[in-house]
Amino acid sequence: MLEYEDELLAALEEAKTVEVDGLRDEQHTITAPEARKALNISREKTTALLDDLCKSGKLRRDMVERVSGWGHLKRVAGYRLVSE
Amino acid sequence: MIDYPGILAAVGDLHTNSFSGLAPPIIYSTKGNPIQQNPFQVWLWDKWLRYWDYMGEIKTRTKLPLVLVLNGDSVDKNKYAHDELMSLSDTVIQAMAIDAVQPAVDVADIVYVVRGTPAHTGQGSWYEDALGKAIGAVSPNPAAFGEYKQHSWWHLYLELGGVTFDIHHRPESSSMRPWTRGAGAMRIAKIVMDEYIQSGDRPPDIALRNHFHHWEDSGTNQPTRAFMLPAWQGATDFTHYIGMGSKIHPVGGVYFTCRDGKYSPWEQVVYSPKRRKAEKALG
Repeated sequence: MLEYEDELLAALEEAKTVEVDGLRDEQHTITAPEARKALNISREKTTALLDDLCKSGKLRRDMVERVSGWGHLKRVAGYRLVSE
Repeated sequence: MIDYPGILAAVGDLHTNSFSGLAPPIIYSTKGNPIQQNPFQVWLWDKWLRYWDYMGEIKTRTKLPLVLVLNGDSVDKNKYAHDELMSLSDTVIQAMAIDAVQPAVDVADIVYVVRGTPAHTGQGSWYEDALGKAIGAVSPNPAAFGEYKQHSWWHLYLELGGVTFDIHHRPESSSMRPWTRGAGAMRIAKIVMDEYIQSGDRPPDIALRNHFHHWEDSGTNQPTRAFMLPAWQGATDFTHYIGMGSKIHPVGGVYFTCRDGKYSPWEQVVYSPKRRKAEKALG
């Protein structure tokens, strides 16, 4: 088990689908800045953790959808939880 | 009609895929070879992250949405200098371009991609259109059906918080000598004003241009204020070839806080690489 892995996976499990004007954030995905904010750790530690989780097959790097403050759907690089 | 306030943050000339341009920390060839940043790209990436951290702070402080404008040449498959490219694979280049702009897209609420120079970004600047599509950039023809929808703009006439912007990549004029600095931006301001007056339209408040990799500001001399933005690329072989290799090229961008038809505060945010120490011929 990696340091902060539990916290990160918990944040991913809890990530709810958000809908604004028919646009939606995807469930069980997290971006690097979101992970950094959730764990309150440095950018370097966050990147290393996400990379390690990808290598172990628990996460998959992918483009994910996010609804911005203006209700605009943007696509950003993120991490998707790989189901068992 | 409500003029919603917001921040417009513009950058351009990222030239991702050039060994002198912006690159994510690591990319992989189609065969899986890791390709890492050179020392200049390490420096550039650090400043890029700082820049968008700073924009994030401004966004948090003002509680305003941020409109990102990528003003051309975000990608580079230079048709004249293949030996300066990190990859020749379209697949790798597209993935690299998406990765490179992530720190900006993460902060942005709305993204506009402006098309740059076809010699760098492909016919019709298709690389930039593909980038716009990948990151969900605003389409100039939203009513178009599915794959016919474009996601990048040759010319962006934009309004934010009652402030109007005329944005495209290539400037109408420039001034390349130290003693004419700013004169190009002055000419652009006047040209843009004339174009809008000729068509019976109100001239825009701000004109934004890129392409020549240096900063220019027309100031408050004309009702339209024109800016030319710095690049996120260092000197290439071409830069040396045209005799500008000894020039230090700061990198950066500009943001405007737009509210009630005014753009204040606005700020030029630049980072300057240090000049290399003189080579000691002896000792």
